Amino acid sequence: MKLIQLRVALPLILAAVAGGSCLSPIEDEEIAALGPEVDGIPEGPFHRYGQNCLACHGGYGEGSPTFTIAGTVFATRTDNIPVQGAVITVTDSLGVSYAVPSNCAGNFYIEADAYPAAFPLRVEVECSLPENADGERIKRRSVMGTRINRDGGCASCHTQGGATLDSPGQVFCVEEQPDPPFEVESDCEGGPR
Amino acid sequence: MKLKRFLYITAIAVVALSPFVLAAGCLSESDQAAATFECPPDAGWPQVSQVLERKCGTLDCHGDRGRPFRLYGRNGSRLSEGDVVGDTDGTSDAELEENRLSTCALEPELMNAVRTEDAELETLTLLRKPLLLEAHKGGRVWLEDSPGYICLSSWITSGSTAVDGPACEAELSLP
Repeated sequence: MKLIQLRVALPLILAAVAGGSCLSPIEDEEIAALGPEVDGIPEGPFHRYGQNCLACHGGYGEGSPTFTIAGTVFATRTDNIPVQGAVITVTDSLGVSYAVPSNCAGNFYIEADAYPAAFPLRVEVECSLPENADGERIKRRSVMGTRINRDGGCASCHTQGGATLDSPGQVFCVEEQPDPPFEVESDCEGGPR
Repeated sequence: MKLKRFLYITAIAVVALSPFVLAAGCLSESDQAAATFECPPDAGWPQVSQVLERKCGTLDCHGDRGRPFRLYGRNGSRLSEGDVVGDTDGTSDAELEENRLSTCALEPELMNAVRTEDAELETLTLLRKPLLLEAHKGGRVWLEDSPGYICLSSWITSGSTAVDGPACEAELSLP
């Protein structure tokens, strides 16, 4: 009798274990490493600035919608000041382009439904510096040195901070703060806390 | 009933332990000995490496140091502490040599066989993947008449003949 019970129970236990865990431990670890949401910042376009958006919004995680490409633009190479209004233009291997602005948390994203890009991708970022004494907003444009071959999660390579052995560092607008400088938007739903 | 239970538990134990038994049985001295293999010469390699770094060695592909066929480079992972991604100094000599060995060590025995003309060039995974003759996450990178493919394959067969420099240059000049 016990043997019969075991025969019935074992497949059920295995099915429960398999169903409870996901398929990729590497991606599960990456998602877990993101940590919890920051208090006071709701899930949405302004959350988790600087983190790898596609860990959850890349089709594997539970984030919805799914993005083709997403990331965060900072003011300089090493600060934590998000830049609003930077225009990120992506061009895929078929020559189709899509431009999107960053929000006040520096975050930008392109939904996969709107732009199911054919990799590799060329990316450029155009930042408008803060308005100067003459009322002008000077623009700075940077083109990514390499193509994106497969991973649209900018922060999976562009980790926060400066360049290292295996990261070019965060996406940024200018080497040094301009005059007047970029500042954190105080009424932004996201960004540094 | 007891016999049935005994047989059931024994069967589970055999299934659970079989990978370890098989693994231990497969190891031999020859598996642990260092193997030698012939790698194509380093003449012309810097240009070939540059092609591979640009096309394959980005950080989200073979520039990721955890990936098979790992490539170092100026815009990919760096080898030495003190070097950072995007340095203006360019790919170092040590990185070039690591890339050369990484390229050969992907399938060393087969590389030997190709070099001695005992196997066809297109049997190498190194060439089959970019042609999409087998599954490749990065998709089709080249056709057989693409300058990048000609550049790489000319290096593999180089020795008595030289690396096809103009093909490498043509690949590097592409947008």
